[in-house]
Amino acid sequence: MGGENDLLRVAEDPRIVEHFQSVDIQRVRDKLVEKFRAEAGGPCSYSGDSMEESHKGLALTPSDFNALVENLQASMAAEAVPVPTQNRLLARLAPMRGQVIDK
Amino acid sequence: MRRLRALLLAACCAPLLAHAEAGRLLATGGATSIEGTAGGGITPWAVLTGYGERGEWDGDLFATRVETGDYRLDVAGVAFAYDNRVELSFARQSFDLGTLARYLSLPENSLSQDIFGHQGTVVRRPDL
Repeated sequence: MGGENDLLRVAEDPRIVEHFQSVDIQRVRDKLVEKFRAEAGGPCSYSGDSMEESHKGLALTPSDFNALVENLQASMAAEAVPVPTQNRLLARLAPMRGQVIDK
Repeated sequence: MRRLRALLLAACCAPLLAHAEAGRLLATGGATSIEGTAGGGITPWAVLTGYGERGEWDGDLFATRVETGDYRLDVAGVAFAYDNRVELSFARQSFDLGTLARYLSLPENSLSQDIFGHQGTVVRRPDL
């Protein structure tokens, strides 16, 4: 995980691309990767803003959230990550949903 | 009675509006039950038809044939769900009694019923 295809997948997803129009997409990609790696138990530590802080004012809907989940699943599938392993990462990210949507 | 060309023991669900209103994740629409509600095929589950998330609507059409050799059940119906909160469904079941009607001298060789269904969320966590 961590190739250029992550960036493309999210930036080209017509369902959520509008949310990334006025942000530094490279920073978003780097912080996303950091966050996922930290949650997956890697040596990385996350250095970005809190989930609430970084999603404040976007009024993200559950549909927006699910779109990113699908992009993450597709990225992991492209890297041949086994589904049980994918689900373990998703299980660690899922509790953050409440801090991301409706902010 | 309208003849259905469904596969033996097969249930097929056709999402009505798959792309415009499809905020939910794969498989969270369940499988349409033989009564028309979203569920596990035989019984309703705590899932709603289609893939509509909060503020969205979706639905499906289905046709099912269950054939045991002695009896045949044909079901066809439609279901709609809105806001990831409420689902309305309609199904027409037609049960063919086969040879039993003759042996027992029953007045009809099939039984039919229309089923109107409603599934809804009673309590929802504020963040869902």
